[in-house]
Amino acid sequence: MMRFSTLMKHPADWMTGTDTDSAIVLTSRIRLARNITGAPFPGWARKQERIKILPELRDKVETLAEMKDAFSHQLSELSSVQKQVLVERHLISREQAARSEGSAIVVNRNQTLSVMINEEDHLRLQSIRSGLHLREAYQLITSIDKDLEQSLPYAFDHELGYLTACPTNVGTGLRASAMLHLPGLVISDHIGQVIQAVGKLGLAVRGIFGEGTESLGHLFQISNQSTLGESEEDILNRLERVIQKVREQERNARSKLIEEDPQMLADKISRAYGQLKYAYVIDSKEALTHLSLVRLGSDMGCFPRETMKLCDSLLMDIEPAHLQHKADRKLSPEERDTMRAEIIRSRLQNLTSPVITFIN
Amino acid sequence: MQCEHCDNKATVFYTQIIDGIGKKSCLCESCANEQGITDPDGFLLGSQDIQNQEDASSSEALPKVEVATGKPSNQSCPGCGFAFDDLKKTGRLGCSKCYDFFRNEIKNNLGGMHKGTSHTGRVPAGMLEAFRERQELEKLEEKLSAAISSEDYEKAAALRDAIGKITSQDTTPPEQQTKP
Repeated sequence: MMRFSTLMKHPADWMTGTDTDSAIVLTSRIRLARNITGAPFPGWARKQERIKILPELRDKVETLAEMKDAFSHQLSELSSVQKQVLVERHLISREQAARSEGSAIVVNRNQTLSVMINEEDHLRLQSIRSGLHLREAYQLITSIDKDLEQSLPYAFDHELGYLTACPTNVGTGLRASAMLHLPGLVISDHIGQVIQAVGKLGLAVRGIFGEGTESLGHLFQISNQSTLGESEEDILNRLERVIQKVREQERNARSKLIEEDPQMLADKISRAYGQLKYAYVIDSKEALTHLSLVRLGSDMGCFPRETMKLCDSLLMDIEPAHLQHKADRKLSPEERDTMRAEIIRSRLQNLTSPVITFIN
Repeated sequence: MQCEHCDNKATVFYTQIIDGIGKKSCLCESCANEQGITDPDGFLLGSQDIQNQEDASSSEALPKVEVATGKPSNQSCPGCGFAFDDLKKTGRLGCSKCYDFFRNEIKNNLGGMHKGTSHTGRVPAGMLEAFRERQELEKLEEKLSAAISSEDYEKAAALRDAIGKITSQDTTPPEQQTKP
């Protein structure tokens, strides 16, 4: 079985942005909610009932071919920092991190597939990919789902489809989402319009860090809301179309910024570089803001292309639980800010000053 | 004059003409509100009377009048003891049987949440046949009640035969197949 330290040492490809086209769409994620007929949903079940159903579910998940040498633990076996690290890596949800006995997480070797057992639903199957690859993620998750349905009696209704603890997931039980980096739209002040337009199409837009349009790091998640009355194919098609459209608008916003206010853009990117490179104390908010601009600069040719990958790993490594895991002890917010600055400085050590290619 | 439904004084007088037959109603203000007369989009005037009449003759003709009112909130799911009021508190249901027991209440609460009200996506392999059969049956039953209400008895008889053919083929009803 894979150990926690191994999981930490080898971040998944999708976490470090290996896809050549992940400049705007960082990741694609598919989640399926499934339940067992006749058993109470985990949130309503008594602790004993959760504990009783867990081994059967866990055994079925662990014996999947895809789960060979997987990371598999009960939540009660993990420390609070370890749980928080898994949340920061998007491998478990906040809701599951709050659980202990009777709940488990199984993650495959390359961390593209994670199965939460006894979270809000009996099973939450999740697959993540780098870049805009919803379909690949969906294919993997469906093959897993088809394997599991052979041996597990899923709760399914002729009218309402897959039955879920929350009626907002009933039907396909499918939540598809993508994480987008939209600094161009935020700086040019068009993000509000985009969020509104996407909302009108029945899709949800959320900031990844922070709330609403004030999203830190200019990172946003777009996902489907409706799960009933539409096939999986239709849901994916609609979401993919909208994401492509938003990506195009972000591209346009970036070109327009270069054209209309190159000095301002060069100033922002260069200052961000300076702050990150020379800071000794930096909080999460400031770090995310500057990293976003360096990431943007890398897409615009100011930094070598692999700088983007560097930014993407840093986004995760400077989060509170990741810092505390590295330090191997609890850190006060002040200690975290110092350690964060230290990590960033050392990673950016060899990154030379930005080359502003877009000013003649 | 007294209200038709309670002992209060009638202050709302309403004449409704359905298929050329006039029907007068005298109601007090609260009963009028209750029946939705003051709301032009949604009145159900005389629904109680129609149902009372139907109850006397045949109980089948107007099956869905009372659906919206639902079960008393103190009833709980026989599968897990979940009461529908708990949904308002927790936002989650108790078990998969809750969907059967509170079907109408849940369906009434799905409005605006989803694109549609019935599943059109993937079906677990073992349930595919039962699922299709069930959907086919529902379609036929819908057509049957349409045929009956338009008095097309020949078509109704044919549809009834088709339904009988499907249901007699089953050794176990589709409902049972979803259980372990």
